[in-house]
Amino acid sequence: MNDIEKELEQIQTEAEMAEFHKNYLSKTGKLTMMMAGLKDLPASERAEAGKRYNELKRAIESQFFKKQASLRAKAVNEKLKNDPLIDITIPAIKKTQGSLHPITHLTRRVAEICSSMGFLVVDGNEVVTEFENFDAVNIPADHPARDMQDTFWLTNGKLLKTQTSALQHEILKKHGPVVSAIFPGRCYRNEATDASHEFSFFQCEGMMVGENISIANLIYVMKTILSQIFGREIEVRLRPGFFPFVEPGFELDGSCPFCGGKGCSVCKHSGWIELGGCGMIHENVLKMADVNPEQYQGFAFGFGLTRLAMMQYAINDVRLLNSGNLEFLRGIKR
Amino acid sequence: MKISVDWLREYVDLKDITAQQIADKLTQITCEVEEVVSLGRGLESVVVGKILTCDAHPQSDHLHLLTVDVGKKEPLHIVCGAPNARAGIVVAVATVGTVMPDGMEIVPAKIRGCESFGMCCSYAELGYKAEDEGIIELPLDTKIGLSITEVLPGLQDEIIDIDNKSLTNRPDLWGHYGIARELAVIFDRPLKPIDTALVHEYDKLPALNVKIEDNHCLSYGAIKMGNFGGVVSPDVMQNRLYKLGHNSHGFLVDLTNYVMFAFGNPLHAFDAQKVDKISVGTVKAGTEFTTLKDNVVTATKDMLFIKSNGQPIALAGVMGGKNSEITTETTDTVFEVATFDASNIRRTSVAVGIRSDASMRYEKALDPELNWLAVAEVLRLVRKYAPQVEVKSAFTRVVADNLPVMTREIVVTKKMLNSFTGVDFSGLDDMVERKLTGLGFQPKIDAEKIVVTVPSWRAWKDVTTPADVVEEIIRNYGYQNIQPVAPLVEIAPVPFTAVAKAKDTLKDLLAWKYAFSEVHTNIWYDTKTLKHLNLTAPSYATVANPFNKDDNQIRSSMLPSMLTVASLNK
Repeated sequence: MNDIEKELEQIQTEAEMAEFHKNYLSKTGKLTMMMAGLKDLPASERAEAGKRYNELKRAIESQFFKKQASLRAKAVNEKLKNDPLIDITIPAIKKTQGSLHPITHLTRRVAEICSSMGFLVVDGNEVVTEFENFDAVNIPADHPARDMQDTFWLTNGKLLKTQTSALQHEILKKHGPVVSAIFPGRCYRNEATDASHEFSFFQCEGMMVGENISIANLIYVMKTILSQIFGREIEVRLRPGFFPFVEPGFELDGSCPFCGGKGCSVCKHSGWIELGGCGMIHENVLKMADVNPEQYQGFAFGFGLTRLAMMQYAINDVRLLNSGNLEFLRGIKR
Repeated sequence: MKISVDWLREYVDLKDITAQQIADKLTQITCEVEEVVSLGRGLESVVVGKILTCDAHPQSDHLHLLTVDVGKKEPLHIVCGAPNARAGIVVAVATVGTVMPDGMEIVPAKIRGCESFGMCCSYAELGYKAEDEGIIELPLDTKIGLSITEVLPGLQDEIIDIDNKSLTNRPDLWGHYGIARELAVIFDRPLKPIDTALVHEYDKLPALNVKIEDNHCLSYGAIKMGNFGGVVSPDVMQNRLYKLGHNSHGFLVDLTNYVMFAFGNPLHAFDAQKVDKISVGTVKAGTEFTTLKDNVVTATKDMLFIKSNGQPIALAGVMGGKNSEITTETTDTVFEVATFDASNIRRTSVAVGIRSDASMRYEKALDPELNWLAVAEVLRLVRKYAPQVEVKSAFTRVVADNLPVMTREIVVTKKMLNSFTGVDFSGLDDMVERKLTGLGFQPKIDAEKIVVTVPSWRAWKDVTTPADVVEEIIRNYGYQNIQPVAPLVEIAPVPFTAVAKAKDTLKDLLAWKYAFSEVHTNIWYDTKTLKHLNLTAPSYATVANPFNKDDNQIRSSMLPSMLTVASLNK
């Protein structure tokens, strides 16, 4: 063993290395041959000898690779030093990878989950009419609910949609009355920005309309979608909530995906997090889209993709999402 | 909106139910409770005492040295600075060890050389009411040694703070009585009925001259009373208002606020000397009007005013006027108990920028029948706390000729109830009947259907469709009791559209092959940047109410924002 080590130490060139490899480690090398000889030993000694052989082989291999690496590094350094065509003072070209926005990652995930469950994924406009955003979802003029959302109005009378619900009407008309669809999108509200509020944010709305779609179905679908999104079993809880386009309306809570409902800082130790709103679609919304509420019924739900992204990627300031800060964006992994 | 549990107990028996249980049930069944705040905890060791001796402090010109009998063998020595401290009065003594509402602990102390073993408290120090004119003086026959919490029952209370947004569609829940009705149903306990018969005891008195000129006033009731001079607001009333965040403004104003918080119907008290023939209607557009809080309002052609001989004296449903305000000299008053159109009040409130407790309630579409409960409560409180007051007119109430439907019948088939909820309600008729009856819906249930008569307090804009009735049933059944059920629909994966796929492919290609990063930026141009870059960029549309007034052009080119991002990341 010591002899072999000494031999390895004295090697100076790649050629000598190859010679060493041939002599000891190759198929016909001395070490490999020793292995073949093991089978001639009596059975009682074979196990012990095999163990010793393996230890020896590993030790020599390890020394060999170490020596090989150091020789190669030495060769490269010499080339760098002596080759007139190489200037080591020039900065390296950074190999960067691009990135997709966290909202894109999340939206894709939600779309994949929902489309596999039979939901159509619909893309909608950001500029919509007053009718689509308000009247068609049962928020008539003078309704206090119009106060709940400060709207960016355009001088042409249209507006930047304040809620993805603005698409309900169009989808019901185009694909209804029996339809399952989700429609993620960017929404705008005229409010001050801070670490947890942005005047533009992403929501994902969904609905399912059919002949017997019930609250029990709503709970089932929410539980399934949310469990898929978070990659663990999520319990859902409905509380009374008021949204003009549904009746009855619910606030939707999910068991905290970060602690499993035991209580942590994300859920403020309650075990539950508010995820969005939902309810049975109001008969006025159906009627306005020419769907007969005597025959068809269904549910709608909406949750904040921006909020979800902040939770999923542990983003503590919502403003980062629209900052164009590449260092931040590249740091987000799917 | 703040709700006092102590006040709720006046209308419903809440024995053995904690404030937290009330809050949890309300959140599950009715509306969102934001927090529960306990008041007066730890004040059991504040006891009734009698000042035996009161001497001047040798080292001070305003402190007193007291000996106070608190029912123990030896009287307590207490140093006290209150100007009204004197021998013979009965006071509230915070004994050593008491932690006051502000967090201060009472400990034995030496004040300018004299020892003190307690503190004589004022109402404000105990957190009972805002008014603070020296230490509490209790009736001389109050039992010495008794805990103050037994003498002032409202001192210990729990305040339930409800998210106003969750009450947007519940006009009936803007007073304690409405919340009490919900709790009576939730906990299956009886609700105290409100007797309005006493209002009619005055029917023979002369009527007031009251007229509705504009149908946005749905009902207007007025009653005149005299001889209020010198009446002070009772402690119980001040305490209840204080706990909801309102200071005392004298008996008349406190009375109107109190009744509003009890039943949800706003009231107004005018100085009777400044009110003659009352009419409700509009005034000439451009007319200026000063409210009692000195806001100057310019009338539009749609704003409703209360007028006296044609001159505006109150901005209807929003705020009273300076010119008819109650003052310390007021002896006679006219109480207004009215109902206005929700949309009209909301528009006015937004236009003048005043959101009062009254306008907040009116814009939810209040029940005009509430007028009777409110005026009955005024009369009851006046009889109790100001027996010398003389009622000088009948309660004169007129209604608009186009009063909205305030009661309606709705039929819910059992088939719909089951299919809508996904719950099998067979065998639950008793529960459904009990809950709907408690809520005032007078249900009639047979094998096929449930027929309800919607009570006036839910009828106007709240419960109008079968789904609304289903909500009443299912929320009281309990959302947590609904078992999730997979929908019976054909489920097949839906392929993405070609456009959606192309968009994804393009994004992937750019990001993963060519090292682009996807960014989100504002959709309007930043004017300063455009100027700086000396760029003119085409506009897609103009924002009428932009965030910053210069940045109102929506982009149709992304180049300027991309350049900004590039420069930020260089």
